Amino acid sequence: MAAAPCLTCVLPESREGFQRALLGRDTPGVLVLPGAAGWDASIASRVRNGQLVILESAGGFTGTRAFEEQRAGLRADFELALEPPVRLWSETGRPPYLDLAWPQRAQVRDFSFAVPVRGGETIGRLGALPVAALQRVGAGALLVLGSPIGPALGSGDPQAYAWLSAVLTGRGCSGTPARGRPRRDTASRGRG
Amino acid sequence: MKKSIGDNMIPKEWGFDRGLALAKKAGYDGIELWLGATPWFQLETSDADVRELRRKVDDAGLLVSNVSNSLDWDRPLSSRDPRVREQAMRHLTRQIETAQILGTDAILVVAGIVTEETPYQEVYPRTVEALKKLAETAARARVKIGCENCCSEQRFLMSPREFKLFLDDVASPWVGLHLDVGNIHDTGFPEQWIEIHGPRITRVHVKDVMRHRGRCGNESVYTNLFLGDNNWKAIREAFGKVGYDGWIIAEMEARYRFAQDQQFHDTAVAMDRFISGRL
Repeated sequence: MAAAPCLTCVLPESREGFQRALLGRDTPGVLVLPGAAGWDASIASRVRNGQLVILESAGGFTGTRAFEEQRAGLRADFELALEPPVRLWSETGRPPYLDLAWPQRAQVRDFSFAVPVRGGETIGRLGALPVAALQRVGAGALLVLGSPIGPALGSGDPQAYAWLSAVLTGRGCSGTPARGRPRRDTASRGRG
Repeated sequence: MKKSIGDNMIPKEWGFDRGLALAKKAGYDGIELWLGATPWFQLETSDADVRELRRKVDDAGLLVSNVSNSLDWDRPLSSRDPRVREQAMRHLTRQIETAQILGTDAILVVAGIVTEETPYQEVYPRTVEALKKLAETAARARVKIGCENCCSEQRFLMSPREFKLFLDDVASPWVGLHLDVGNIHDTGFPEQWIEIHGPRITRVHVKDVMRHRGRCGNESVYTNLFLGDNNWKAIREAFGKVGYDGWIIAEMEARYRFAQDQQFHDTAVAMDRFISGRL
């Protein structure tokens, strides 16, 4: 997985989940930013130059400043509107799955908080909330995930793997995803 | 075997000193200190004040059997939020530090809590990973981490076999089982847990359980020794078989409404009967 330029990952297990899922895959032209807090101006140029950037927002697990930075960056560079994180669990309600509709349908369990994303092409919803969006710019695209899927990848969720695999295959990435790899296999585990 | 009782059983208005005197008078050998549960032992309690607690325990003619905490339920190692997990690591590290100061070699941890929101498939790997890290600190301090089997409340590691596989995955001689023989409810039999875990048992909580009751509103499933459904004779024999001769610690959920000191005495007498095997 390509390294993020300046963004901070505040969900280490999301990073580990993506690392595990991408192990053994060749992913040219794809940048994954798992559990991302804040914003980096180079994202816009990467997308314009043809990269697919997958930004998994950690809005519910970070401070206001980092969230506002991310929100401002997405608005200015991609015309996407992030809304404040929504606490999905309450005394009375339990959330539905995150329903991803593109490039193939997948249901992934929620991760307590979600950041609604408006604008672009909505590709994922939690109930009525749009929480995943694709914004195509030039030859590239930005895929914003307002509900983290990295932890589900880390625990071997087959639909999460299939969805990620379909996204990468659509970008011409090759290789076999490391689906269902046991958690105790720490070959790719890394922090920082 | 040696008898101990939790300092969280001491009525708050009594204070630590009076509670220690009562424990000694009732015949206990030691006291279990609960980090976060009593006014005298909080996360903010300084090393000097912890040393003062130890002095008081020594002066009372008691030992500290182990250090438990009441913080894991609100700040679990298995939280989805990494900030909460950091808080958990902090209080558990402090628990290890205070165990060293208090002269005991065991702490109790409620490791991993499954909820509707935080599912099992996340809790398991997160907890294993956290305990592997914590085990390094425990090894340096030479303090054993006993993961308590709060099976029904945790909704985690419900069977002894599952718990064994969990400890195998953590793979540290510094992480074992703090067995609560009252917590198994109707999902099994404590004597079988004892046989399966044997030398991995760090400490033992004792209380009895009324299996038919379940958790019905505010009605406790727990009761005093010999009033519930545990097979105490089988439990005693299993401890003999695996050679467990360490601390047994009274942890009563229901408290006497009157004459609260009497619960210390009655429990101590019951524990003596259990230890003697005259059942």
